[in-house]
Amino acid sequence: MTIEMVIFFVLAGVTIATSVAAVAGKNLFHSALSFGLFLLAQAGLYFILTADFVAITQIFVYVGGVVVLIVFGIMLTSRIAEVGLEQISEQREVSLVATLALAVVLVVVLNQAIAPLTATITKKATTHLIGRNLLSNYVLPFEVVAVLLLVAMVAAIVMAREEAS
Amino acid sequence: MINLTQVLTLSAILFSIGVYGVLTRRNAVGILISIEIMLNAANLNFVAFAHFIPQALLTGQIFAIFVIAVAAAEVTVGLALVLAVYRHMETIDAQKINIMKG
Repeated sequence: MTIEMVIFFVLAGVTIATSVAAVAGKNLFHSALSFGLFLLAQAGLYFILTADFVAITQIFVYVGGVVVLIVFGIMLTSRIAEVGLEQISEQREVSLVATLALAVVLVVVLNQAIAPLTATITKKATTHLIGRNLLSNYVLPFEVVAVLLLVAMVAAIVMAREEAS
Repeated sequence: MINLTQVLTLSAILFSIGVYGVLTRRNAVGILISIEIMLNAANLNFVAFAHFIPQALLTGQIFAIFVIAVAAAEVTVGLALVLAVYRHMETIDAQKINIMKG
Protein backbone atom coordinates (compact mmCIF):
# COMPACT_ATOMS: atom_id res chain seq x y z
CA MET A 1 0.00 0.00 0.00
CA THR A 2 2.19 2.79 -1.23
CA ILE A 3 1.64 6.43 -0.49
CA GLU A 4 0.44 6.87 -4.04
CA MET A 5 -2.39 4.42 -3.50
CA VAL A 6 -3.37 6.03 -0.21
CA ILE A 7 -3.54 9.46 -1.80
CA PHE A 8 -5.48 8.08 -4.73
CA PHE A 9 -8.07 6.41 -2.52
CA VAL A 10 -8.46 9.48 -0.34
CA LEU A 11 -8.97 11.71 -3.37
CA ALA A 12 -11.34 9.18 -4.92
CA GLY A 13 -13.40 9.14 -1.74
CA VAL A 14 -13.50 12.93 -1.65
CA THR A 15 -14.59 13.15 -5.30
CA ILE A 16 -17.35 10.61 -4.84
CA ALA A 17 -18.59 12.14 -1.59
CA THR A 18 -18.62 15.70 -2.88
CA SER A 19 -20.23 14.78 -6.18
CA VAL A 20 -23.00 12.91 -4.34
CA ALA A 21 -23.48 15.99 -2.16
CA ALA A 22 -23.57 18.15 -5.28
CA VAL A 23 -26.24 16.14 -7.07
CA ALA A 24 -28.39 15.18 -4.10
CA GLY A 25 -28.12 18.19 -1.84
CA LYS A 26 -31.25 20.02 -0.85
CA ASN A 27 -29.65 23.44 -0.65
CA LEU A 28 -28.49 24.53 -4.08
CA PHE A 29 -25.81 26.83 -2.76
CA HIS A 30 -24.29 24.06 -0.65
CA SER A 31 -24.26 21.77 -3.66
CA ALA A 32 -22.45 24.45 -5.69
CA LEU A 33 -19.81 24.73 -2.98
CA SER A 34 -19.31 20.99 -2.76
CA PHE A 35 -19.05 20.98 -6.55
CA GLY A 36 -16.11 23.38 -6.11
CA LEU A 37 -14.52 20.94 -3.68
CA PHE A 38 -15.12 18.14 -6.18
CA LEU A 39 -13.20 20.09 -8.80
CA LEU A 40 -10.29 20.62 -6.41
CA ALA A 41 -10.11 16.90 -5.63
CA GLN A 42 -10.29 16.22 -9.35
CA ALA A 43 -7.27 18.50 -9.83
CA GLY A 44 -5.48 16.45 -7.18
CA LEU A 45 -6.25 13.31 -9.18
CA TYR A 46 -4.80 14.94 -12.26
CA PHE A 47 -1.62 15.70 -10.30
CA ILE A 48 -1.32 12.02 -9.36
CA LEU A 49 -1.74 11.07 -13.01
CA THR A 50 1.21 13.33 -13.90
CA ALA A 51 -0.99 15.85 -15.68
CA ASP A 52 0.25 18.96 -13.96
CA PHE A 53 -0.74 21.44 -16.66
CA VAL A 54 -4.24 19.99 -16.91
CA ALA A 55 -4.56 20.20 -13.13
CA ILE A 56 -3.57 23.85 -13.02
CA THR A 57 -5.89 24.59 -15.94
CA GLN A 58 -8.67 22.86 -14.05
CA ILE A 59 -8.08 25.02 -10.99
CA PHE A 60 -7.93 28.23 -12.99
CA VAL A 61 -10.82 27.63 -15.34
CA TYR A 62 -13.17 25.36 -13.40
CA VAL A 63 -12.72 26.37 -9.77
CA GLY A 64 -11.88 29.97 -10.52
CA GLY A 65 -14.34 30.49 -13.36
CA VAL A 66 -17.12 27.96 -13.62
CA VAL A 67 -17.88 27.79 -9.89
CA VAL A 68 -18.01 31.59 -9.70
CA LEU A 69 -20.32 31.65 -12.74
CA ILE A 70 -22.59 29.03 -11.18
CA VAL A 71 -22.74 30.90 -7.88
CA PHE A 72 -23.65 34.08 -9.76
CA GLY A 73 -26.30 32.14 -11.65
CA ILE A 74 -27.74 30.82 -8.41
CA MET A 75 -27.79 34.24 -6.82
CA LEU A 76 -29.45 35.85 -9.82
CA THR A 77 -32.12 33.21 -10.34
CA SER A 78 -33.19 32.10 -6.89
CA ARG A 79 -34.96 34.09 -4.30
CA ILE A 80 -33.14 33.60 -1.03
CA ALA A 81 -36.04 31.80 0.58
CA GLU A 82 -36.31 29.43 -2.33
CA VAL A 83 -32.82 28.00 -2.22
CA GLY A 84 -33.71 25.46 0.43
CA LEU A 85 -36.87 24.17 -1.21
CA GLU A 86 -37.35 20.71 -2.59
CA GLN A 87 -34.90 20.22 -5.42
CA ILE A 88 -35.45 16.60 -6.29
CA SER A 89 -38.14 15.45 -8.66
CA GLU A 90 -40.49 12.59 -8.09
CA GLN A 91 -38.61 10.25 -10.40
CA ARG A 92 -35.90 9.69 -7.85
CA GLU A 93 -36.26 5.91 -7.46
CA VAL A 94 -36.39 5.14 -11.18
CA SER A 95 -33.40 7.39 -11.79
CA LEU A 96 -31.49 5.62 -9.03
CA VAL A 97 -32.17 2.22 -10.59
CA ALA A 98 -31.18 3.44 -14.05
CA THR A 99 -28.03 5.07 -12.71
CA LEU A 100 -26.98 1.97 -10.80
CA ALA A 101 -27.55 -0.13 -13.91
CA LEU A 102 -25.40 2.27 -15.93
CA ALA A 103 -22.64 2.17 -13.32
CA VAL A 104 -22.67 -1.64 -13.18
CA VAL A 105 -22.55 -1.95 -16.97
CA LEU A 106 -19.70 0.54 -17.28
CA VAL A 107 -17.62 -1.02 -14.53
CA VAL A 108 -18.11 -4.58 -15.76
CA VAL A 109 -17.32 -3.71 -19.36
CA LEU A 110 -14.24 -1.73 -18.34
CA ASN A 111 -12.86 -4.47 -16.18
CA GLN A 112 -13.31 -7.07 -18.87
CA ALA A 113 -12.06 -5.04 -21.79
CA ILE A 114 -9.04 -3.25 -20.38
CA ALA A 115 -6.03 -4.76 -18.72
CA PRO A 116 -4.97 -3.34 -15.34
CA LEU A 117 -1.95 -1.46 -16.62
CA THR A 118 0.34 0.31 -14.22
CA ALA A 119 2.78 3.09 -14.80
CA THR A 120 5.46 4.75 -12.78
CA ILE A 121 5.17 8.38 -11.86
CA THR A 122 7.75 10.31 -13.83
CA LYS A 123 8.68 13.72 -12.57
CA LYS A 124 8.49 15.40 -15.90
CA ALA A 125 6.74 18.68 -16.44
CA THR A 126 4.23 18.48 -19.25
CA THR A 127 3.75 22.16 -19.98
CA HIS A 128 6.54 22.35 -22.53
CA LEU A 129 5.33 19.33 -24.47
CA ILE A 130 1.71 20.45 -24.39
CA GLY A 131 2.68 23.90 -25.61
CA ARG A 132 4.67 22.49 -28.50
CA ASN A 133 1.88 20.10 -29.42
CA LEU A 134 -0.82 22.72 -29.25
CA LEU A 135 1.00 24.93 -31.69
CA SER A 136 2.17 22.29 -34.13
CA ASN A 137 0.08 19.13 -34.21
CA TYR A 138 -3.13 20.45 -32.74
CA VAL A 139 -3.10 24.01 -33.99
CA LEU A 140 -6.41 23.62 -35.83
CA PRO A 141 -8.48 22.61 -32.79
CA PHE A 142 -6.64 25.26 -30.81
CA GLU A 143 -7.75 28.02 -33.18
CA VAL A 144 -11.25 26.59 -33.47
CA VAL A 145 -11.60 26.59 -29.68
CA ALA A 146 -10.49 30.22 -29.66
CA VAL A 147 -13.26 31.08 -32.12
CA LEU A 148 -15.71 29.00 -30.08
CA LEU A 149 -14.88 30.93 -26.93
CA LEU A 150 -15.42 34.22 -28.73
CA VAL A 151 -18.77 33.06 -30.09
CA ALA A 152 -19.83 31.79 -26.66
CA MET A 153 -18.93 35.10 -25.06
CA VAL A 154 -20.91 37.09 -27.61
CA ALA A 155 -23.87 34.70 -27.35
CA ALA A 156 -23.93 34.86 -23.56
CA ILE A 157 -23.86 38.66 -23.59
CA VAL A 158 -26.64 38.85 -26.16
CA MET A 159 -28.85 36.39 -24.36
CA ALA A 160 -28.39 37.67 -20.86
CA ARG A 161 -28.68 41.39 -21.37
CA GLU A 162 -31.69 43.43 -20.39
CA GLU A 163 -34.26 43.92 -23.09
CA ALA A 164 -34.26 47.42 -24.54
CA SER A 165 -37.72 48.64 -23.63
CA MET B 1 0.59 1.21 -7.55
CA ILE B 2 -2.69 2.38 -8.90
CA ASN B 3 -3.72 0.70 -12.08
CA LEU B 4 -5.80 1.79 -15.03
CA THR B 5 -8.97 -0.10 -14.15
CA GLN B 6 -9.17 1.53 -10.74
CA VAL B 7 -9.12 5.00 -12.26
CA LEU B 8 -11.59 3.98 -14.98
CA THR B 9 -13.92 2.53 -12.36
CA LEU B 10 -13.78 5.79 -10.44
CA SER B 11 -14.59 7.75 -13.56
CA ALA B 12 -17.49 5.41 -14.36
CA ILE B 13 -18.91 5.92 -10.88
CA LEU B 14 -18.55 9.70 -11.16
CA PHE B 15 -20.24 9.65 -14.56
CA SER B 16 -23.16 7.69 -13.15
CA ILE B 17 -23.48 10.17 -10.29
CA GLY B 18 -23.63 12.96 -12.86
CA VAL B 19 -26.30 11.11 -14.82
CA TYR B 20 -28.35 10.70 -11.65
CA GLY B 21 -28.09 14.44 -11.06
CA VAL B 22 -29.22 15.32 -14.57
CA LEU B 23 -32.23 13.01 -14.25
CA THR B 24 -33.36 14.09 -10.80
CA ARG B 25 -32.55 17.74 -10.42
CA ARG B 26 -35.37 20.21 -10.88
CA ASN B 27 -33.36 23.39 -10.74
CA ALA B 28 -31.73 24.26 -14.06
CA VAL B 29 -28.48 25.33 -12.42
CA GLY B 30 -28.41 22.00 -10.57
CA ILE B 31 -28.70 20.24 -13.91
CA LEU B 32 -25.75 22.29 -15.20
CA ILE B 33 -23.68 21.25 -12.18
CA SER B 34 -24.47 17.59 -12.88
CA ILE B 35 -23.47 17.96 -16.53
CA GLU B 36 -20.15 19.41 -15.39
CA ILE B 37 -19.62 16.40 -13.14
CA MET B 38 -20.13 14.13 -16.15
CA LEU B 39 -17.63 16.15 -18.18
CA ASN B 40 -15.08 15.90 -15.41
CA ALA B 41 -15.51 12.14 -15.25
CA ALA B 42 -14.80 11.91 -18.98
CA ASN B 43 -11.76 14.15 -18.54
CA LEU B 44 -10.47 11.82 -15.87
CA ASN B 45 -10.73 9.00 -18.38
CA PHE B 46 -8.68 10.88 -20.95
CA VAL B 47 -5.96 11.84 -18.51
CA ALA B 48 -5.80 8.29 -17.12
CA PHE B 49 -5.21 6.83 -20.56
CA ALA B 50 -2.55 9.44 -21.27
CA HIS B 51 -0.79 8.47 -18.06
CA PHE B 52 -0.94 4.70 -18.30
CA ILE B 53 -0.18 4.31 -22.01
CA PRO B 54 3.05 6.22 -22.67
CA GLN B 55 2.83 5.65 -26.41
CA ALA B 56 -0.15 7.97 -26.48
CA LEU B 57 2.17 10.95 -25.99
CA LEU B 58 0.00 13.32 -23.95
CA THR B 59 -2.87 13.26 -26.45
CA GLY B 60 -5.31 12.56 -23.64
CA GLN B 61 -4.10 15.56 -21.68
CA ILE B 62 -4.44 17.88 -24.68
CA PHE B 63 -7.95 16.60 -25.28
CA ALA B 64 -8.72 17.19 -21.61
CA ILE B 65 -7.61 20.81 -21.97
CA PHE B 66 -9.95 21.24 -24.91
CA VAL B 67 -12.79 19.64 -22.97
CA ILE B 68 -12.20 22.09 -20.12
CA ALA B 69 -12.32 25.03 -22.51
CA VAL B 70 -15.47 23.82 -24.26
CA ALA B 71 -17.15 23.04 -20.93
CA ALA B 72 -16.44 26.56 -19.69
CA ALA B 73 -18.02 27.99 -22.86
CA GLU B 74 -21.00 25.69 -22.40
CA VAL B 75 -21.57 26.75 -18.80
CA THR B 76 -21.44 30.38 -19.89
CA VAL B 77 -24.05 29.95 -22.60
CA GLY B 78 -26.15 27.66 -20.39
CA LEU B 79 -26.27 30.17 -17.58
CA ALA B 80 -27.14 32.97 -19.99
CA LEU B 81 -30.04 30.82 -21.20
CA VAL B 82 -31.11 30.17 -17.61
CA LEU B 83 -31.06 33.90 -16.92
CA ALA B 84 -33.15 34.63 -20.00
CA VAL B 85 -35.66 31.93 -19.04
CA TYR B 86 -35.82 33.23 -15.47
CA ARG B 87 -36.50 36.73 -16.72
CA HIS B 88 -39.45 35.54 -18.77
CA MET B 89 -40.95 32.87 -16.58
CA GLU B 90 -39.90 33.87 -13.05
CA THR B 91 -38.83 30.27 -12.35
CA ILE B 92 -36.12 27.83 -13.39
CA ASP B 93 -37.86 24.71 -12.18
CA ALA B 94 -37.39 22.20 -14.99
CA GLN B 95 -40.84 20.76 -14.43
CA LYS B 96 -42.55 24.12 -14.71
CA ILE B 97 -40.92 25.20 -17.97
CA ASN B 98 -43.33 23.35 -20.23
CA ILE B 99 -44.88 25.92 -22.52
CA MET B 100 -43.84 23.88 -25.56
CA LYS B 101 -45.69 20.83 -24.26
CA GLY B 102 -48.77 19.50 -26.01
